Amino acid sequence: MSLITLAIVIRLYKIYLPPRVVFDEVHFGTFARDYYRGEFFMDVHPPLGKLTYYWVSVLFGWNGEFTFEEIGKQFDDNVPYVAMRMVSGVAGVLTVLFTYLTVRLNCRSSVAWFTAVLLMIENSQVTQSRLILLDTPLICAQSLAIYQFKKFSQTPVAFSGTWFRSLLITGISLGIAMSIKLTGLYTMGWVGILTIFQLWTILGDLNVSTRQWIMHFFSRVVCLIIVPTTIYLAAFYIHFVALPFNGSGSGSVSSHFRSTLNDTDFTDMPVEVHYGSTVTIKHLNVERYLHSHDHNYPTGSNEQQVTLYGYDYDDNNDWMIESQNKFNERLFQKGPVKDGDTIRLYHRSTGKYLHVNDVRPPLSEHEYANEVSCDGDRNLLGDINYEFTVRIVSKKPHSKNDLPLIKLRATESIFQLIHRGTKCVVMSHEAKLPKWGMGYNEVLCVDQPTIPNTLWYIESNSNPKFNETENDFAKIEFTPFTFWNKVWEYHKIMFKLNKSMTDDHVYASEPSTWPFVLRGVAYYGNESLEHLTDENGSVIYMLGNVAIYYAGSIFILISIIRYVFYLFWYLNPFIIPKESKEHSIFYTNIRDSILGWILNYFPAFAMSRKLFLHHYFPALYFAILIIGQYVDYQITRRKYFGFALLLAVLAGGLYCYVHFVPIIYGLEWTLQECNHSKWLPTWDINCMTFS
Amino acid sequence: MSDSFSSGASYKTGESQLTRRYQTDSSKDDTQVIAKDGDLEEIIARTSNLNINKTHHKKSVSTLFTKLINPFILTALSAFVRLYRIEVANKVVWDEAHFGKFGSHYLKHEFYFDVHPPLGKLLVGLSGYLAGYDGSFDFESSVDYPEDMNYVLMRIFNCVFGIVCTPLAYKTAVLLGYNQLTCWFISLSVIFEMLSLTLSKFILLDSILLFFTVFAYFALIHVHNLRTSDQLLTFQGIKWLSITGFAIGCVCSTKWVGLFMTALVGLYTILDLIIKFYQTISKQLPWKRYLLHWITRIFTLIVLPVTIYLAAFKVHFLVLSHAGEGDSAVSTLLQASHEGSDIKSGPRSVAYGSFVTLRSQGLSQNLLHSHPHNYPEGLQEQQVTTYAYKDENNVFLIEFDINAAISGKRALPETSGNNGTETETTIESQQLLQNGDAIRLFHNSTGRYMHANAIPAAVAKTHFEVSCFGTIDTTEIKDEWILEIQTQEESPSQFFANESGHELHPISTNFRLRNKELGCYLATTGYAYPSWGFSQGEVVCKYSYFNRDKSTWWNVEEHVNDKLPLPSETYVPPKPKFWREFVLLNFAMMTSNNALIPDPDRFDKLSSEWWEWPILKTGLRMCSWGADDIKFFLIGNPFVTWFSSLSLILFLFYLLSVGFKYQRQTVRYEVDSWESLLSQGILPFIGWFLHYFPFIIMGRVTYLHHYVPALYFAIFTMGFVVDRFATVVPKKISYVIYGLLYIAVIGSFWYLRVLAFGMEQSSKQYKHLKILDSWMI
Repeated sequence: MSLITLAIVIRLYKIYLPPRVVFDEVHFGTFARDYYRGEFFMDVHPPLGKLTYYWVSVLFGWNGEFTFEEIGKQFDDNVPYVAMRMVSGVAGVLTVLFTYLTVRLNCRSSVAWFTAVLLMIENSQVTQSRLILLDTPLICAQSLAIYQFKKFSQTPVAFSGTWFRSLLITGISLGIAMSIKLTGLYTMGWVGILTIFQLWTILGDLNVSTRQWIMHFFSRVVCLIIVPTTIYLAAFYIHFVALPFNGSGSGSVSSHFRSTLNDTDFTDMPVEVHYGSTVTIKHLNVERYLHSHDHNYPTGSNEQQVTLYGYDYDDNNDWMIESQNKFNERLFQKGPVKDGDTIRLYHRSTGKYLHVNDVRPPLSEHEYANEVSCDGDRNLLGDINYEFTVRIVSKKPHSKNDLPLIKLRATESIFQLIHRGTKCVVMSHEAKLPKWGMGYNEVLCVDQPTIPNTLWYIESNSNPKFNETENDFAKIEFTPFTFWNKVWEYHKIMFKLNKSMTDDHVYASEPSTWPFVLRGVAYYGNESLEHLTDENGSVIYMLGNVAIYYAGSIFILISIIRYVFYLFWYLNPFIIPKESKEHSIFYTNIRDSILGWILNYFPAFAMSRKLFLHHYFPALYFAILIIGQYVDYQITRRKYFGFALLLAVLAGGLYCYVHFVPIIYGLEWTLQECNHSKWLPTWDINCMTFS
Repeated sequence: MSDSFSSGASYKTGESQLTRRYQTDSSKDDTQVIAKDGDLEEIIARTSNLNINKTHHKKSVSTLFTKLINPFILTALSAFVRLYRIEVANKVVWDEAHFGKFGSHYLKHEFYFDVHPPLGKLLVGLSGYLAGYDGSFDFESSVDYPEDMNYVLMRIFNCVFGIVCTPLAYKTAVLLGYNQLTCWFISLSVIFEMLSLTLSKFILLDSILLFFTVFAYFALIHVHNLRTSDQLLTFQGIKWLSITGFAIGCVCSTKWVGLFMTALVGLYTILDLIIKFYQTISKQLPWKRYLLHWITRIFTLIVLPVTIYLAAFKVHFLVLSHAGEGDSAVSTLLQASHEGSDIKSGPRSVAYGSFVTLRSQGLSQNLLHSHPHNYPEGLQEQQVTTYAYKDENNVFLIEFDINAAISGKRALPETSGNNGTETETTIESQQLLQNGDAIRLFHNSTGRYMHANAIPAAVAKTHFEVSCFGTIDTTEIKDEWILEIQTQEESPSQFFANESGHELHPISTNFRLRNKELGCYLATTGYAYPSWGFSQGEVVCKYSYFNRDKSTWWNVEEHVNDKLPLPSETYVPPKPKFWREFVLLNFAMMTSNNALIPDPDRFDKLSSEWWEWPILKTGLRMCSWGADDIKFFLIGNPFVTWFSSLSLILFLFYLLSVGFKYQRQTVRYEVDSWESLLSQGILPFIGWFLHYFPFIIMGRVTYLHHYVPALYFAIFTMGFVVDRFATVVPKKISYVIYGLLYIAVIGSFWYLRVLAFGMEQSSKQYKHLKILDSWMI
């Protein structure tokens, strides 16, 4: 009880400060707003965490007006941001409780207390648990899963009530964790590996009949796989129901998916693409629109850029399909575009034609790759460098017959554009142009390319001649798009999005620097904002608690070494190991924690995307558990040394916490104190704010 | 739970080991153990005297078969299908263009660079030597061989390696303790495995590589058998350990793929030593003996292979004693040691106004280079790189420092032309550079000075960017570099012994260049720029407090200055150091290997991806596909490939079921059955995995023939699965199964034989051979 009180004080202290948007609240606030308005969006994270914030905000009477555009924007009175932050805060408090309970399972209560306090005062997690972010709820679910799984593993009687309850809660909390962030899967993996090990051990127990073993097996499958998956899918179900309208993300899904959104407009459009139609052309793989805008390439031909752009409803995505002749009104009488036809693409808003130059594109400087640009004007005469052959390759699954293979049909035909001048094929890929190209995807033309990135289809299609004849034409039609289709496509895009998050971020960091607190992340600073007269300088800088991070790293290292030696000794087939109970408990504990730490930490090295310090939290949680478990073992073996160790780590942790209180909570500080607190030159806290 | 280590149970008691041996079939057993126990010997002698004689007689006949006749038949079969029509394509096929050319380089003694270690190519060179070939043909792809060239002998030489794999596979199967039916199945699969069959018809490294891999595995199984009878410290044991070491040394010296085989041997050895360690601490093995085990392993499996690898490179350097196309990518000293190299000809001291090229001494030892392309980031000034080829853009002029420039002192005569103030061009090009001088490096072809900017470099962000900027008249402090001479290499010739230590000499002086303003040193990082920098080496300005940091060391390679006198004698360069050249060459091999990254946007019909190999999705056209060409299509034997892939999965299920039974204690796993599971099943499976998995995570471009060694191990796993299956079905059925398997292996080869023997008619005639649509016949 005292622990909870303390946790509440520490984690929720002045949670209303600062009354402005901090760091990634920009994103999660915006998502809450999207839910409010029902506008479809794409994000790399599963929906549960974001939905929770939305529900809380609605519960506390938000009107959905406030836009979380940029860091430092002041909340208006209507935004229940304190309530939203409380979600994080309460999750943080609960985490402390779960930590205590977890450690209490096999350690003395003083150590459980100590471990919980370490987690409670860990600077970076305190910072995180005060803001509208996903990490603290994730850690909370993770810690509950760990607690319940450990409890489950220690339940003496199989198939008893407590046994089932713990197993089920483990599954539920795993489901919650992975529905908040996919990194919850690492904890799932942790549970999975330990479960396999458990099952293997039970298999060797001849007192357990084969039938019972199968029961063991299936109860685990149900609780640890089926239950979490159901929760996960349920979250997605709610997500799709909550977002019935087109929004920021609807450009990046396929037309078929879009057709399920209520206000999709292109379902009234003609399905046949005729000469003179104005269309949007979408890249099949990347799901973005062929785009051009009034900026030129700084390299190559220096002509107008052609890119892919993710947002629909932009005039710059509109292309008019013309024949190879100079434009005249007769074009509209020409009828449908067929497979093998030669066309020109007229970019309406800039009045230029799509064009391929035999110069190297900006990023892929291979001999066989050509740059795609826009050039010329309406009076352009015949020129094979502006002409493209339409080659229809296949059709989308919702097309009802083979017509789309013969004629170009919107949303149905999948085609390539082959440049007549150089015989190369127009394509695009994930590679993004630098700042001068607004970070849009590069479009290029490659001789003998691989197929998947050369495929396009037409989404919206309009033609004046169909408007004149009113409803007398075939419209775009779709077959139903099921929930499973949606989930599948959404995940493909999530992974693509995650992979493409490689833009340099000022505060991104390498996984190898995390355990050493080499750098923090500046969340907020009001220096550059328009100051209210009574507002003091305040900075929120998420920085790890040096003592706890280092203690964690050191104890992990020692534990790994000890465990390797122990395992080596234990596996000796010529000696039956004799070990004390404490020994056994200690090594089982650190085995579990080391495994958890490894599973949560090392995948980060394989990630190509940009990472931040808070991606270390799940691993850090296991590191803190190890501190507790190690200290407990030391107390058992050498009482005074153990307690001395406990006090030393606690004192160090407390000192680091107290010292950095101002930048955790965004409180007052002085310039001098701040400058003195930069213990490492790489800590780029913006101290000038305090001047 | 305590015995997750499954060999454990039976090791615990030495007794059970003995009793088990008595129980086994006496005809199989070794007499040693029996001799220890007199009673039992007597009993056996009395009860089965006649019986033993009979089996003994049988045994000698069967030994004759297994030792001589069977391998001979199989070898003959293998030789026939591999040598048949070997001469038919009288032009350069597939990678003969590479490996034939490298062989020629050895015959001409001209230095070259390649990503593979030298042993295989040395053997190709040897085959050319035996064929009386002088190295003059340059192996252009698809070009006809000259009339007088005995390319057939070269191909046969290479093919022999492929042929010898067959008897080795048979012997390996026998050693593994399989019955004859399984041995034949494995051998036939190896013979009619069409990837290695087709590849062994040409001058390529693949059959040499496969041979050494097969040989190493054969030796490893010998070692395994000797280990189970605890004879590793006998003469036999050390002999076979040494042979294993020799084989892995050879396989690694042929291609780096050999490291996977080394890993297999390594894992096996580690397992062995761990078990022996447990035996030692449980007082079943004296420490002395354990130590001896370690020593023999270190010598036979580490020292010996490393020596062979080094020796291959030593021979490589010795044979390639003339300057050749690979010179531009190696250190100045190595080039200077080559006969016919022209870098020795310049004046012996560098002066202001000299034109020089600078070579880095870091891990990527290329020439300092700049070209008229700018960095896309940072200040977007002109790129500075390192480049592995010699061209105009490597040339820099040594210019006076800024003070001199302001007072009108210039090294470059032409500067005056534009502004018309001819008086400024005081030329003092006789002034030699001294240690500690501030100089500016003027990039001759673009007319810019090289300088460092205090912004992060393009790739290695922790260092500063180096670029070329300005014009000839620019005077920026950033352009000044301080010359810091580190060491002077001594020439073996007395004539050049007294060169001043404070002056800069081409070839022999190693120096650093410190930026005067920033204090950082001109350095290479070993990284390559992205495509905008043409994948050339990165150059940065690096704070390096450790003056032996070779990445900041440079030397002058070529030196041109008309004003300076040439030495009266030809310069005798210092000798290159073998170790240094060895390390640098290996690093360069690694870098170029990693640089072979495919472009995902470009369709490459030759390369294939790892997942296509076990399912045989794509084949490879080995030569041009015209109607008149003799066409070879590289594809695996469908039955062998598909069935082996299936067997790998079946094997995992088998392991799982054994594990379950073991854990439920419904099966007793004795030492013997464990050891045979290890050698017959687990070792080949791990071998397959080790030869396959790295290609999954490797970024470089991969080809179908990379699967050949893995497939060899998959075939052994297949043999294991078939063997275990045949033991559970009635004997008669098993004969039928084996018969069908033989027919399937040979039949699928026979059906597709023309792909490997060469197609003479137009490719349309062979459309029916397309078993899968994805094959591009």
